[in-house]
Amino acid sequence: MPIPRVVSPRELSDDELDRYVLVRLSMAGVDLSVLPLNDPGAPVDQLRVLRSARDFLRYELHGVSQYALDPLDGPPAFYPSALTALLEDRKASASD
Amino acid sequence: MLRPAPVLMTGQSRGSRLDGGFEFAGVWDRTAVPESDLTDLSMWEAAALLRRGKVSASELLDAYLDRVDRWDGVYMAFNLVMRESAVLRARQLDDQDPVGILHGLPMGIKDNFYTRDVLTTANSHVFAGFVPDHDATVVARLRGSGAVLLGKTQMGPLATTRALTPDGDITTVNAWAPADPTVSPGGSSSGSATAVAARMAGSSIATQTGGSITNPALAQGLTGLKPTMGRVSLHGVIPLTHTRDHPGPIARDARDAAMVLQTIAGPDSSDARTLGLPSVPDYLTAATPVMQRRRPAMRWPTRLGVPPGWADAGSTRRRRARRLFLSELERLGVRIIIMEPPPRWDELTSRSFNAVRLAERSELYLDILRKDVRLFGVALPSWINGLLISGDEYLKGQRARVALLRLTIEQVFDRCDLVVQDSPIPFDMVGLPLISFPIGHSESSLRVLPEGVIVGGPPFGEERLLALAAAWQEVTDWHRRHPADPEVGVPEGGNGSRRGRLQPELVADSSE
Repeated sequence: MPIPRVVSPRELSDDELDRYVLVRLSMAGVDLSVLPLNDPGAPVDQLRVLRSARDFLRYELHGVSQYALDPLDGPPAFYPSALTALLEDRKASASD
Repeated sequence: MLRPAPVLMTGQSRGSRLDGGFEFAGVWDRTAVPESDLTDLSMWEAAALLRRGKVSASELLDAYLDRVDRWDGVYMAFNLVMRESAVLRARQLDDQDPVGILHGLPMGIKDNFYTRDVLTTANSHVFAGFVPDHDATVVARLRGSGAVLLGKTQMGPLATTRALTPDGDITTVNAWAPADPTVSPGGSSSGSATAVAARMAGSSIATQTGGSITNPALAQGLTGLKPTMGRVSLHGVIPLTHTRDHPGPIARDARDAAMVLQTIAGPDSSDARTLGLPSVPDYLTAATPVMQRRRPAMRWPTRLGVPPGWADAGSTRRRRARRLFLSELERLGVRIIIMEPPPRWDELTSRSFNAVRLAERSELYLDILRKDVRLFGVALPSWINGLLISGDEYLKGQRARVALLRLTIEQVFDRCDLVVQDSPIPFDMVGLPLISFPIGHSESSLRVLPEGVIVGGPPFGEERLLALAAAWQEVTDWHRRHPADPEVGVPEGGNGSRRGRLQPELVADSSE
């Protein structure tokens, strides 16, 4: 199987992105086939889920991987604002 | 009396926790029972009458239940009205000394807070029939302070978007435009806001992951306070995004918001996010208006950052409201500083970095996604999209949040104490506090809708936010205006709604 060239999700076709999404969901154990394929009267259907996923990959998520963040910008923190209390506390202790 | 500005961002105590010892005197007092309706009173005004024995908790509750009976079929603010337990609780409270600052005050609880022995569904098929065996910490603290829990308020499914049935049919309407369901009630805490705006609750508890305290408050002329991450426990709140969910009050004014925040804030051994933080300060004092030379004044010297062009944006009435807001603040002694956002602000607060939060909901609910995706109803797409985020993308998102916080502290709060925000998202991303409150009305031939402002503060800067709102509300009356009662002809809501249905694409786009 040939190794695909480097490609932006915006260059991939709908079919290619749909295959990517469905394989990912399948490996995660998530089954979209219980939804109707295309039923505008239903709360949600497979086609609308896939359309949303394609837009997400092309226009939202791609920006994250493309953004250059300086490695010295620091370690990740789940709760940045709460961390300030700890950091300020440490600073105060160090200056005592 | 003025007092010096608190030193923010320290690990030291900035005042003692009030254990019912606050002196409700002077500007917090009220002696006259209104001729019209007890529900016209703010919570702090009602509390004054309760303390003086001029009104009982049962009488106050009856006034609210009367409005619920008359109007909630139109507003659909409640998922569940806890009538029997509320009546019983009010009677008990009438027979005892005050137990706390919320003694006898009726409140709405968003339906994602665990309430012991009461249905808690988060408006989702996922939690259909769920009855917790204990209260969320916030709910327990409200009960302990004497609040009367009126009911569980409507919300977007799993706190994603405006209040809908799980399948997308519109339920809750904006209390200022009940006949037009296309006017948004503001976000996933729609029911909490509509209940307060329509005077069916004194105030409400809500949650915010992407704007859902401040936006519903803005949309309905209320005061919404989203505290700093960790200031209020999330134990017993059905999670959407562990690192971004924030509980807080939606209230009539800054003083009401302070009463609720004073009750619910503080460490909770069941939620590590609340531990090791600065002590809870005195929010009631912060929200108490001060006078200087017989004129209302700011409690602390305050520099307010304002984005360039903010006062010149939008409709004529919006511009007028914003200009009047800034000029009145200057009269109160606030220094207005027009501030360009720092470099990289737009990139770090972009939709892309906001999107990484979706991985958290997918991870939380993966077992249920595997069981049956239909349980997520109209909200499904954002859960699917969260599964497409890779580990490196998620971690870069977390690093970007740290970079954004540093930028905010070093290049925003180096020049100002508080800052006007066009959107709640940047401060939601980093967990900083926000307040929103009304500053005017936009009127058209069709309707009158509230105009408001969102203001952000530094970590644990809730006092400063409350003081700003309280000073503004001391010299204006926008927070006292309420919408007229509905007229006939409002379309029915709920399943098979004639109010309309939101499509999943729109739900994903507006998702918290």
